[in-house]
Amino acid sequence: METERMTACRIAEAVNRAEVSAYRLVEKILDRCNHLNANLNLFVSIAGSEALEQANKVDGMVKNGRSLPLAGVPVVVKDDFCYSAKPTTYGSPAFKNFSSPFNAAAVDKLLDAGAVIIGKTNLDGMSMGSTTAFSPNGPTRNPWDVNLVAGSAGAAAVVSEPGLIALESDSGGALRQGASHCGVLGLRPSIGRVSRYGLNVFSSSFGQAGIIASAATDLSVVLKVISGFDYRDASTALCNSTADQVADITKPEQITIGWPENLIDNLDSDQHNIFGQALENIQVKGFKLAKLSISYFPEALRAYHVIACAEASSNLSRYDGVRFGQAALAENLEELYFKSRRLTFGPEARRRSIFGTFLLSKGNFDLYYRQALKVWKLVRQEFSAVLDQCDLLLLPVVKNLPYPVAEQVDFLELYEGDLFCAPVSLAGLPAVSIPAGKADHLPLGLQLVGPPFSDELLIEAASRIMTNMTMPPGVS
Amino acid sequence: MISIKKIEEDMDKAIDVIKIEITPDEKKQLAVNLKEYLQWLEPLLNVDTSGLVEMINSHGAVNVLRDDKAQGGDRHLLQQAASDFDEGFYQVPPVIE
Amino acid sequence: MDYEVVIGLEVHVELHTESKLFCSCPNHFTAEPNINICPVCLGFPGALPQMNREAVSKALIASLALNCEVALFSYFDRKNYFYPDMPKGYQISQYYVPIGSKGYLEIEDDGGHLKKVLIGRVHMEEDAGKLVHAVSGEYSMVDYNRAGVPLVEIVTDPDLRSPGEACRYLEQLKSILQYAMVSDCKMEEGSLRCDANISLRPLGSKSLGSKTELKNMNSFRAVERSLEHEIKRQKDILNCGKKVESQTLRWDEESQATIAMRGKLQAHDYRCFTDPELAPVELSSAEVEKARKNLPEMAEARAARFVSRLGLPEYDARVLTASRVMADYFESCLEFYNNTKAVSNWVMGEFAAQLNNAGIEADQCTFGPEHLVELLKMIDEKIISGKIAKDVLAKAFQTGRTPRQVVEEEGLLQISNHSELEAIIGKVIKENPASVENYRGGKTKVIGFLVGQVMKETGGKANPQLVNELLLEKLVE
Repeated sequence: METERMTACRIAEAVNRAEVSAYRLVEKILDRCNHLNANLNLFVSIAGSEALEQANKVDGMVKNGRSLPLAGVPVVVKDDFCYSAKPTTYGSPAFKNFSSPFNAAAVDKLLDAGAVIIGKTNLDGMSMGSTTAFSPNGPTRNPWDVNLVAGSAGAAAVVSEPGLIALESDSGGALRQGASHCGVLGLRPSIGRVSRYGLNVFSSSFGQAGIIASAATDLSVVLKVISGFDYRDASTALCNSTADQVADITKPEQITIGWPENLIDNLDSDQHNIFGQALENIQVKGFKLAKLSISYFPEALRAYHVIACAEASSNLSRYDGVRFGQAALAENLEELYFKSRRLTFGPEARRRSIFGTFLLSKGNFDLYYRQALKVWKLVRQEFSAVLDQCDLLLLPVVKNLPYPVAEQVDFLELYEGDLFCAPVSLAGLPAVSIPAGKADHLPLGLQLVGPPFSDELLIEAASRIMTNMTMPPGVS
Repeated sequence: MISIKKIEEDMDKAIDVIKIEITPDEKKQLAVNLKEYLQWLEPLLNVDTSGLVEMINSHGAVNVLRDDKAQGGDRHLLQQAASDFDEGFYQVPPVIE
Repeated sequence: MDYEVVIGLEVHVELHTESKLFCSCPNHFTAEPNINICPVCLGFPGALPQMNREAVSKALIASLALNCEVALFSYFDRKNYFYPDMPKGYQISQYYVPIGSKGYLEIEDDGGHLKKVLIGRVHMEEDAGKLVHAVSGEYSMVDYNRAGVPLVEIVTDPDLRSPGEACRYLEQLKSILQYAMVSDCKMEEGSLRCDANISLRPLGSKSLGSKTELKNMNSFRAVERSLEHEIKRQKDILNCGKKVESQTLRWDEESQATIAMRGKLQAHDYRCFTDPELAPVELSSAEVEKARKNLPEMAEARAARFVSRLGLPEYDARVLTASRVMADYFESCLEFYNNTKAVSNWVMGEFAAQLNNAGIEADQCTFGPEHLVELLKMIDEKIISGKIAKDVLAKAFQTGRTPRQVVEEEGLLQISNHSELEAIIGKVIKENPASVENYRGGKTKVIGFLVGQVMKETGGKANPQLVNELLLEKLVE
């Protein structure tokens, strides 16, 4: 059975019907992944024997008449999610052999639903970045052009193997941008939707667990599996108190999609064209359009950065070599801290820890951090006002096409790259990145953004709007 | 504009506080980066935020409380993760109080 | 030059909950290190805090019992600093908005007058682990059992004017928090810890002098002594015309002196910011009022109840209610035994003496209320005399046996057998002809001596009233 045209949903269906054995399927996937890994540098570790064991179990349950929502579905997990069967490296050399004593909540939910964890995917050190250029294992290459970065190893895996699901994290937009660079769908769920317990977020306020898939139905099924209240993550209390924002997608004329004229004007010509085509497509599909203006994007990006850096400097303080991670040889306590943390953090993590400390220190605290907290409020109000004028928003995702693998990009240019994604994180809204076309033979995505808990609506709208992406050349 | 010297001083303090070993060359580069970063942040400072109340957190949930029940766990798994765990204790270099 | 002493106290109290503040690890003392630990309290990657409902409730009760204004909306902040006993590299506390503020309690000042000690804040925070040092000095060790235990920190204004007042404040604070069932408040066990800030200023001056911080006092007495020591030290410095250096001093119990803590007192930049993970606590005024109404009975109210309902003298009531566990012990006895005055006498007397000797409290000994009642009933039934009973209590208390076991094993049964006693009385009369003559001659007080001799013969076990009766009979013959 060919898995190339598979979606995760079709795999689950086939396994549940015993049309195909999960074991055989996973065997093939593992083979494929090893091959892909050699070319693209997708994985930090591949969980071969564990995956086969899980697949066996699923086949057993199916034989006993059980039907599982993700039976046999192969999942790749970004290596900032805790998974006890393999090292959880978090993109840090000091964590090469770290065995987490527990699984992330989302990982456990996937396993309970019959999914099979294929391996842990590559990431920037401490998950700080949107390119994987800061990974101690080197960057992940883009299947569409192996001389360019993929942005997200999970996205690269999914586009190469469409039946795969990638469990990914998104803070300033790494998930969404990776999906755009690789031509697949990427969902950043609403705050409080998915438990982050066991996800190493560097930014508590903006880090979310999300999904990358090749089909909208896959996003939907996986989201259902990983959503829900978890007493271990206080933010998921929102699951109990917030109703889903729904709309009748069979009546698209009742749904208005807003788009920001002021932001589109500054896009380069490729993006501009693709955005224009998307608007036409949306109208053809029957939705209403609303031209509007959204202010404060550049300020929101900076507020996001100040807060994320500040939180990172604090969240990363636990990495001192005493209870986990590699400890440096030291004669005194100060040396232990300075040297062990040097082993743990790459250049970007060091930069953000130091900058974050600077921003929180006396004298800067009021000027930068408190100002950022106020601008955060302002941005929330702005988006809220904008979503009064429409049901969903269409925004760009990336500022630039993927960089060459070897290129040393200036750190500020990389921060600027989050221009369209970070404000959405700051606004605390769910967003789905959808393939919208090609620029220079490379995929380019756009994102649909909705009010809190409108995830299902977003996915349904996305499935209506998206253009089909074909397999990337040279990957088979 | 803040002088590069003041930035270097503030950065030295920050490095001392956050306890990551940085080489002198890296320090120089980071100070330059920090200056650029602060310049990049200027638009944030120029926003008129008078009358705005600071956000406290991203989720807005309140009163998320857990029942007071004790539950043991697997301490061995935890202890195994340490580089230096011996005779029941986590070992660190001598601390003078 | 006459100086005024200005003291402020910072007390940390462990809340008496089943589990820790942010995780379900058991919150009770364990001798074995690193047992009550989990990914949350150890700050493992990916772990998140889960707020304990009961801890919030007890912090609220503590605030109300200390007459505080309660913040209807309070949240939690991170105090960032590195230390091996701080697993996350930050402590979660309430820096910006404490749950309780502007409270007070009342103590007697040195002149015996009632005065208010203002309490600036009552806030929740998590405890750190314990740092232990190897004897060789080559390494240190950390035990995280205590990391994450829920605390309230109670900070007074600089309102205390003497070591005596400081001690009385601590006694009163302990009583209030014990009665409120918030904490055990046992300084020796570490469930109550106290740091003191002290400065001197010329009498009449309004500005505060340079203050020093005193740490590491393990008992209320140690607090008193360390403050006395520091007052003398500061006076000596000021009288020489020098300035007192602001620093942190460690009280050393062995040498009964303070030692400057090594290393400059660095003003930590804690970079406090609100914890983005925890949900704030929102209380309604109705909830707060309900909690205020339902506050457990405080010491004064209980003492008043002892006076009015049980008919105890005020003095007794006050002594018995000085500690909640003592008052509980006393009332437990009354569940099985009616003679309130007898119980009161024995609890305040022999029982309290044994507790003091052993340095423990009424809920820490094996000699429970049922044992005291057993003892008192044996006296009533004349199985043992009152005098012997004192011995029995001491022995039972110290060895963990029941009074009945002690009496049986050591043959302390009161001798009430007539023939047995008559035989001994006969012997005593024979051996003390002069006294007998004196008695018969009109010196009736001699009977005391003769009874004493009988008691001596019987090792104190003879029933003294019976001996008296029988002796009288025999003497009259």
